[in-house]
Amino acid sequence: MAPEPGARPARDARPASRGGGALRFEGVEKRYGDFPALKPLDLAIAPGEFLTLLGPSGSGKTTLLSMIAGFENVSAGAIYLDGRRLDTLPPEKRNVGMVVQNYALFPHMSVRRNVEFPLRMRRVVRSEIDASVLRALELVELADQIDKHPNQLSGGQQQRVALARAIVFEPQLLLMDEPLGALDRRLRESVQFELIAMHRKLETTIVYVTHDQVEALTMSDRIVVLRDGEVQQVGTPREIYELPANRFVANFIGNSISLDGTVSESGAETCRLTTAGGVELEGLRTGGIAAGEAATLMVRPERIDLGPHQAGKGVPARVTDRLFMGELTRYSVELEDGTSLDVNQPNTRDRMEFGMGIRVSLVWNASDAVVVRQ
Amino acid sequence: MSEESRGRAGFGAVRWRVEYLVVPVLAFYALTLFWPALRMVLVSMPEGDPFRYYRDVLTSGLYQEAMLRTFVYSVIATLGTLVLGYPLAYFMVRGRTWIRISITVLVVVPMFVALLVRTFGWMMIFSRTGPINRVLLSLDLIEEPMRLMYTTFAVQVGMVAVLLPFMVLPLYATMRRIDPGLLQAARGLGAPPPSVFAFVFMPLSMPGVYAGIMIVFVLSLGFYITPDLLGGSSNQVYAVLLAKAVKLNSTRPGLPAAMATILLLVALVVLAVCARLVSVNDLWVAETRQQVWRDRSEGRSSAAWWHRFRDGALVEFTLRMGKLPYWLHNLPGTLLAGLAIALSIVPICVALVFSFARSIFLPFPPTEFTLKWYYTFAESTRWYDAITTSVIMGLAVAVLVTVVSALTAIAVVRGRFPGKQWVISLILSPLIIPHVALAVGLWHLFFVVGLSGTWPGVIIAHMIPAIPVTTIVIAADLHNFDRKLEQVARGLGASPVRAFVAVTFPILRSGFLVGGFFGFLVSLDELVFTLFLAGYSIRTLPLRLWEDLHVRLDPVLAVVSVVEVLLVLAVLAGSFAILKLRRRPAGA
Repeated sequence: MAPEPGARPARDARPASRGGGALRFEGVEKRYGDFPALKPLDLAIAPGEFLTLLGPSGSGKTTLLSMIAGFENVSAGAIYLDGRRLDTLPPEKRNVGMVVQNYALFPHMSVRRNVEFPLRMRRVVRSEIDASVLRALELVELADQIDKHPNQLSGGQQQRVALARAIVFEPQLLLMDEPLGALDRRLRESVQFELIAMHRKLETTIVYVTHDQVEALTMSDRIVVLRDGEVQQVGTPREIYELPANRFVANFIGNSISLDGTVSESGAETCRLTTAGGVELEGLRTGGIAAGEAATLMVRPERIDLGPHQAGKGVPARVTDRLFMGELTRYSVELEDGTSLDVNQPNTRDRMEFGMGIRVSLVWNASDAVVVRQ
Repeated sequence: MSEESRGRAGFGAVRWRVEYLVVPVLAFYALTLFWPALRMVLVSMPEGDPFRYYRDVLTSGLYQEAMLRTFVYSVIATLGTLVLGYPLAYFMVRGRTWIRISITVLVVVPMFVALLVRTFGWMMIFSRTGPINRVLLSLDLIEEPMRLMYTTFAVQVGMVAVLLPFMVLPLYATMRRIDPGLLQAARGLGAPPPSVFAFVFMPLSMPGVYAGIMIVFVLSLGFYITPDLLGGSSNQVYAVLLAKAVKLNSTRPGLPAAMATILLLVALVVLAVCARLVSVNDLWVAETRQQVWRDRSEGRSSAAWWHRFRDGALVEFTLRMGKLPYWLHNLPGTLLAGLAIALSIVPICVALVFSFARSIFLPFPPTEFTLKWYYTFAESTRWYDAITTSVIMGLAVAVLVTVVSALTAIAVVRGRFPGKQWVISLILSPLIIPHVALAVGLWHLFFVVGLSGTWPGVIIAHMIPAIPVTTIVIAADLHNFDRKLEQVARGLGASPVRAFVAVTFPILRSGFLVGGFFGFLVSLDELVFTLFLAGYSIRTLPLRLWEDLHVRLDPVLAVVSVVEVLLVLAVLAGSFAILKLRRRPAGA
C-alpha cells in the first residue's frame, strides 16, 4: 500500500524519549471574575510519576486538570511539559491523553474507530494505525470487541476503551478525571489494580483526579490535597496519612482523632499539648510550632492502644460504648474533660476486652501523633 | 380488596386506566382526518370508471408541469433551508449566551408571526419600487426596475424564508442533545475544530438533518399560500391548482378529490420512506431516548469510496482547515446564519416601515411618514370585525384544544400501551401532512353535514393543526413535572384522581395555560382550512388579509400586519411571563 500524501511514519510524531514527561506548574492560577477557583500553584511532577489531585468537589482539582488539557484558560502563570510551554497551545496540540468520568466515547463510532481517532488526527499511516490500535486494545484486553459500538459494551469495558484511546498515541502525559467514578465498587477495585499495573508498564506520567481517598492512597506515588482552590499538602500517601499537615487533611483522609489545646512545652522533634480540661498529650512537632500557641493534636484511631487504667500513664478515659465489628472492636470512650472519641482495637488473640463504664488509659507513641496549628 | 371483588371490577366495569385519556383525540381525528380522507378517496372514484379523474390529472400537461415544478421547488426549499438552517441551529446550541438568545428570539418568534404577514413583507420587498430594485438602481447595476414579483425566484426565496423554522427546530433539538464533552474529548485527542465538526458533531447531528429534510420537503409539496401570492399565474404549483380546481368544480367534486388524494398519497409515501431513517417522535416529544447507533456508517449501506474519502481527503482537508485562524473557518457559517436571520426578520421590518409610508408605490425607503393608514384602519369596521372574529375564534379553539391536548398529553406521557409510538405519530401528523389535502376532504364532508360556512365547522378545522402544537407544549411540561410529588400525595392517602386534582393540576396549570396560548396562536394564523370552510359569512383576519392581497397592495394591509405581529408578541410575552413566574416559587 502506497503511503497517502502528507502521511509520515508514526515514529516521527512521537517524542524522542519514550515514557513520561516532566510537568511543571509555575504560579498557575484560575479566577472566575473575583472568585479564585485555584490559588497560585507551584509544583513539579517527575517523569513517570503517578500524581493524584485529591479534594472534595469544588476544591479546584478538575479545574487544574482542565487547564492542563487545555479546556480552561490559565488566568496567570505557566504550565510546562518537558520544558515546552503547554498552556498557550490549543488542546489538540498538547499531545496529552485524557480519560473522563463518563468516558466521552464517540457513540457513532465503533471501538476501532474510537481508538484510531487520535492516530488519524496525527496522519499516521494505515498499517501503523491497525497495529497500534490492536496493541492498545490488547493491553486493555478488549481486542475481541473491536467492531462493537460503545453502547453495546458494559461500563467497565467502555472505561477500558477510553483508556486505550487515551494511550494509543503514546502521550507523555495521561490525565484521568475520576475515571472509576461511574463503576460499581467491586469493579472499581479490580480496575484500580489494572491501572497500577498498566502505569508500571507504560511509564507514562499520570495526573489523576479523585475525591476518593482510598483510591488516592492505593494508586499514587504522590498526592496533592486541595481545598477551596488551595493546596493543603503535597506528599506520598504515607506522609499524607501519617503526617497530615492540618486538621482538614487529617479528617479528609481516613479517620482521625483531633484534640485541641495549648502547646505547653516544645522540644526538637516532639511537643506537649495541654487540653482545656488539663489532659497532657504528646505528639510530633510540625511547622515550628512554639510553646503557648493554640494547637491540635491528631492521631489515627488504630494507633491508639487501650489499656487498663494506670495513673501517670497515657490519657485517662472511660468506656461509654463498644461495637464488635469482626476484625476490630470500636470503643467509644470519654476523656476526663468530656471529649468523646472512637478508638479501633484489632481483635488479636491476646487483646484485652473492656466493658462499659470501665476506666482505661489511652496510650500512643508520640511519633504516631502530630501537633499542628489551629 | 378481595379476590372476588377484583374479579368483578375486571369483568363488570371497565377498569379505569390513564391510557383511556387518549380516546378523545383519537375519536376527534377519526372524525376529522380519517372519515373525510376516506370519503374523499371514494368521491374521487366514480362508479363505472373509478380512475377517470386520476387519468385526467396524471396525463394533463398542465398538471404534469405543476407537479414537476412543485417537486423542483420542494427540493430547492429543502436544500435552501438546510444550508441556512444548519449553521443557525449550530450557533443556537454552541454560540455564546447572547448569540443563543438572540437567534432564538429572531427565528422562533417570527415562526409564530403569521405566515401571511411574512409573505406580504416579501411581496413588498420584491415589488417594482421595493428595496431590492431600489438598491440595484442606485448602484447603476440595472437601468429599469427588474420584475421580481411573480417569478420563480420570488417563490423560492419566500418558501425558504417561511419554511426555515421547520428545519431549524428539529436540527436544534438534535444538536442540543450532543454532549459537549465529546467535542472537548475530540480536541484533546488531537482534532482541530474543523475535524471535530466533521467527524464528531456533524455525524451526531444527522438524525436532525434527516428529520428536517423530511418535514420541510413534505410541507413544501403541499405549500399553498406563499407560492400563490408570490408566484402569480404563470408559476403555479400543484397545491394552487388544487385550490383552483376546488373553486371551479363545486358541483363536480371528483377531480379535486383525486388531486388531493394524489397529494396525500405522495406525502404519506415520503413520510413512510423517511420514517425508516429517523423517528420524528423523538424530536418533537420531550422524551430523552438515547439514539441507538448501529453499524450504519460502517456496514453495507456505505461504499468503500466513502471510507477512502472520509479517512483520506476529508481528514487531510479538515486538518489543513484547522491551521487557518478560528474566525476564518467560522466565517461561512456565520454568513449563512446571518442571511437566515435576515430572511426571518426583514419581511416583518419592511411591513412595519410600509405601515408608516405615505404610499406603497413610492420608492423604498419612504421619505415621508404618516399615521394616516392607522387612522383608516381604526375607522374601518371591516378590520375591526375581522379582528373580533379571529380573537373569539382563537379563544374558543384554545379552550377546546387545551382540554383535548391535556388529556392526550397525560395519556401519552404517563400511559404505557401497545402502539404508543404510532399514536404519537398520528397526533403529530397534522403538523406535516399537507393541510390543503386535508382541507379538501373536510370541505366535502362539511358540505354534506351542513357545517360548511359555520362557526363550529371552522373551529373544528382550526383544532386539527392546533392539537399537535398544544399537546407538545403540555407534554413537555408534564415530563418536567416531578412525578414523585404525586406519588407522595398518593402515599399520604389521596386517590389517583384526588392526587392529580390537588397536586398535579395546580403545578401544571401554567403549562395548560401556555398550551392554550399556542392553540390561540395557531388559530390566529390559520388560513388554509379557513379558506376552504369559511363560506361567505365568516371573515377571520388572515382570510380578509388574503382576499385584499389579491386585489391590491395597500398600506392598510401593512398596518394590519403590524397589528397582528403585536397581537402575537403580546401572547408570546404572556406565555413567557407565566413560565417565568412559576419558576420563582419553585426555586424558593
